[in-house]
Amino acid sequence: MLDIFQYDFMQKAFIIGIFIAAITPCIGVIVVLKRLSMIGDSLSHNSLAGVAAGLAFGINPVLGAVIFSIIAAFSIEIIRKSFPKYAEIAIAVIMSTGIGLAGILSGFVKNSSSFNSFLFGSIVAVSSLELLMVIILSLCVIITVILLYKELFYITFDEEAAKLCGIPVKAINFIFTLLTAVTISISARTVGALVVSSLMVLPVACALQIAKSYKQTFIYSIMFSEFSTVSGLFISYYANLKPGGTIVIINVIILICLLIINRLTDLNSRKKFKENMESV
Amino acid sequence: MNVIDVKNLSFGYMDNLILKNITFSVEKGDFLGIIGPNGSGKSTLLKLMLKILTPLSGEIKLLGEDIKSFKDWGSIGYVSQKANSFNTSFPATVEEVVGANLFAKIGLFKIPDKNHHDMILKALQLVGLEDCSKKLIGNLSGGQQQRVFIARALINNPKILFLDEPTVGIDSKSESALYCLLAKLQKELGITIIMVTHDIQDIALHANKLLYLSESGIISYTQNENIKAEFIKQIYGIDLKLDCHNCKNNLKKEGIKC
Repeated sequence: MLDIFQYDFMQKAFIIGIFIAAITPCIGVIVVLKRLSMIGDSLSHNSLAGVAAGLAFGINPVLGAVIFSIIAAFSIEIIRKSFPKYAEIAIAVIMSTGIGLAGILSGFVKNSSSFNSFLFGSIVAVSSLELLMVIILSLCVIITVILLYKELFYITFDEEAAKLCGIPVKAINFIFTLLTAVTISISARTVGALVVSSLMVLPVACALQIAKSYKQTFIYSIMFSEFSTVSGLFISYYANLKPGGTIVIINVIILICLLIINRLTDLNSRKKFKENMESV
Repeated sequence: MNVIDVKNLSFGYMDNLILKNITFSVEKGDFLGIIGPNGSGKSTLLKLMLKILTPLSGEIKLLGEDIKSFKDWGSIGYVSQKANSFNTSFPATVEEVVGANLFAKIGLFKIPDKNHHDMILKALQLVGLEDCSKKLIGNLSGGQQQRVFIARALINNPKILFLDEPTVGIDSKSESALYCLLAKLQKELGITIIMVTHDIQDIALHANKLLYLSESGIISYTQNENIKAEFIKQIYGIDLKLDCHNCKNNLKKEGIKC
């Protein structure tokens, strides 16, 4: 057995990492395709405000993060309806509110190191209760996304047509908003509020480079996410790096490699086409 | 038999009344073309008939039932204006897009089976795209994409097909092929077609009823080639040659079977 698994905290880190790596792209695929990539940043800053509120008033900080994140997610939906053509305004307004609240509430936190651990996450310092909470909530997210897979696809592709064909769009959007808030708040605790958005967007960006269908985009996103998380945890352990940041950087490296490969393949096929045309 | 009955329909936003006391009916198997200037409420009228918008006053009946209590949306196909401007980089295959309209029928928490895949293939065969089922929709031409959306609307065997400016952004060959397909659906399958368009020449040629919307009200005409040409001249001041024989010959030259 690898020495990395001798430690209880690393075993926990891997279990949590695998669950978080599964749920972030599940939500991320829909968020990216709805062109709401920045929603992750907005909600994670609000979950940070929730953490600060929790620490300041003696409530479980993860619970605080979940509550603040859910309120923020529904507020975004309400504001979006007032600016239907400018969805990003709602995201920016709620993100600023989250940063403002986090700034004010952090002033009431006595132990600033516990608050700082939420900024970049503390996947290796997660308690058994938090581990159980992450597993249960992650399973809820995974099962719901699988059960509503086809309805979420149709709503993301064409909401008006989905409504007309009889899909309960309002109810499913409500559930999805809830899932997004839960995913971001529990991910923020473990990998950090500042990098959770990257975990939602980067694996999807990688998958979009090679996927040939919506189903493939979903599967590849989860595969890239799992690969970067597991390899990131290994590398961070042996190279003594911060796990959250390492995972994000691995995702960025994969994306850059895929972009280069795609560019080279494109150039190669153009060259072949040109040669064929000349020979004709 | 009337499949659509609209009586004294009015609609507007704030103090701007767009549609005023509109009354018309559509019979089974009709091909109704809705024409009129920009802002006259053509797409709005379509959305009212689809319950996407709620009228200020008046009555709409679909398949003999008041729209307020209408539940049989599987009998209604709709190709929206948005179909022309969807996100072409969305990673969805043709079969994923076409099959999406079956989801309500399949039900929550269930997965499509072989029977549903056969229905997707049949709908794609109807529009002549059975070889493109595994392709990404963004990789198809504008005309092919439009046919994918028509296949999606046809998958539930609708009795009425609504189309909102389906010829926008496609070339003339694809446009001709689209009208051929609509004629086939109307004549062979008996589907009632309601189409909003700016394309006066083609719609006057293919539709058997025209409905003109203007700020002052509504003028409609029933099937009669001569009256249709006269009707267009009266509104737009242009002479139309409504010669279907010539049109079919041109399509043959372009390799389109009609």
